[in-house]
Amino acid sequence: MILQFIFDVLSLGSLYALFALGLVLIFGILKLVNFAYGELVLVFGYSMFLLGDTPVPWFFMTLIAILMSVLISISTDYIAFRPVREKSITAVLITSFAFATILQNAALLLISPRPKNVPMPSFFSDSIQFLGVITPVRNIISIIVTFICLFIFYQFMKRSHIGLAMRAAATNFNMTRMLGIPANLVITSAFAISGLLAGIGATLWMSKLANVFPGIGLEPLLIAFIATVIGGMRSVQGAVFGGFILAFIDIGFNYLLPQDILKFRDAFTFTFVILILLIRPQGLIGGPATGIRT
Amino acid sequence: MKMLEVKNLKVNYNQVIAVKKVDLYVDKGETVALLGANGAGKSSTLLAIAGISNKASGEVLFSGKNISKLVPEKILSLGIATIPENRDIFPDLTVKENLILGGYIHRKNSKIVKQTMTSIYELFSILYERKNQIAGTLSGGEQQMLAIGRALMSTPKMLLLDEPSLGLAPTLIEKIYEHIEKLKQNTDLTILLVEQHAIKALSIADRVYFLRLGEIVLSGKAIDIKDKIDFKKIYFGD
Repeated sequence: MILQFIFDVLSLGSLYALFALGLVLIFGILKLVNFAYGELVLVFGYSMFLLGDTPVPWFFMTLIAILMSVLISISTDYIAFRPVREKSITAVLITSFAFATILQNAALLLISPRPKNVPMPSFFSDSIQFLGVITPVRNIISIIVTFICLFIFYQFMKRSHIGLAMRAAATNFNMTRMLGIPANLVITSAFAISGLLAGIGATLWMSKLANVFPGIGLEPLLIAFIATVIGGMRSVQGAVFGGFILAFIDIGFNYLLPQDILKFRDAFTFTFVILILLIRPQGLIGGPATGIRT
Repeated sequence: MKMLEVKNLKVNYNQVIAVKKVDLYVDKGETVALLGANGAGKSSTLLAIAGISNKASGEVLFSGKNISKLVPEKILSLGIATIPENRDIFPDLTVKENLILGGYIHRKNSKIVKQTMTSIYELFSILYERKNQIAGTLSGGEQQMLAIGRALMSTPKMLLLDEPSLGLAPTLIEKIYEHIEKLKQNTDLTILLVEQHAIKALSIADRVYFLRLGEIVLSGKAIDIKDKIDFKKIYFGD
């Protein structure tokens, strides 16, 4: 029972952590929430759907779909952020919402309002027994993929110039520029990595849902947003931690709540989140002392 | 030869005029100090040269080239490195990571980066001892050394140095200025120094400008000015 619980938290938490990481990366640098972030899951899903009828092997299909979410993430910067970035926060809020709406409606008009199938290999849903716990293969894959991603991400942020520059830019963007590091390079890289994480997260997300519909982006966006708020919007560790905490709360209520109240689980989760924020409004893990938009 | 020339510089922050009219120049190899009280417009002038203030008007020439419309990253790549007020080191990164970022423009040439880093460690041996320490845990004086070291990593032709004495104990100010003096002697670095601490700045500057309420009210050679000037009048007006 305990082991089963830990396993459930880890597998859901790793997915939440990936989503949160992609969102906090942009927030760290621009001090802006990318509200079109959830739409990267939509882009991934429909890319998979469109490729579904082609003879492309599943693995390459997924690579192409992840690449699509990277490209759309970068275009979010070019279309929604860059033209109005210097003007005002409100303007960027509106443009990122608008960009999200356009993508949703494009899916609605050009494809269908109804859910469409996303091809997933069947072994994802096979159950296996592991340390006495019965769990779908996709949960194990989620955990492994996430830990590999987190490791690579950590090394990248620690060792590469651009990774260092992104960490520096998150505390003081102007100073980073005064060292000769191009602002746009840092921002574009952040959007690309954000898109990559969202794409990988979407793969794991879809492995459970196996279909895509125009409103699919809302839940991942909410998850990422809440996880980063719990963990602390200023730190990458906070986002990852927040993802696992949110999963812990979700799964905890799954186990604790009686069957007939279970459908109100989100209300319980959000109440709990509000409680956390009442006690620690800065999030559980504080980040570097900044937060001023530059 | 004039390395930096600022003509008719004006900086507004919305309704507030920070710099009314500043004309100045710095010759190659010279150390020039920009002095004045708090709020005189010194830092605004410096940041405008560095390309940070987008509300500035007027002309900034570097080696004869107009750089007033360039972005900060471009200005650094031409050879102007800035050490802002409060030093602005990256507190979550290690000392070494801070220096690596300072040498960003040389990232393709690891030999230059290594050499420069070694010479900075020679200049500030404390930075070498603390190279793997998180920069935010350094003392104020050490952070100032790191900020200077980080700026030197780009092997600049010119240094814009904003209030190196800010918030430091007198003995540390002494030490920092010894280092700047050493830099001045050992390299052909051109320095534009902003200071409130006028006496200290006068001791190492070749020439000085006094700024009051966004305008230059006095300028000349440091030796000529040192003994004659009435600081009270410059700082507080008549």
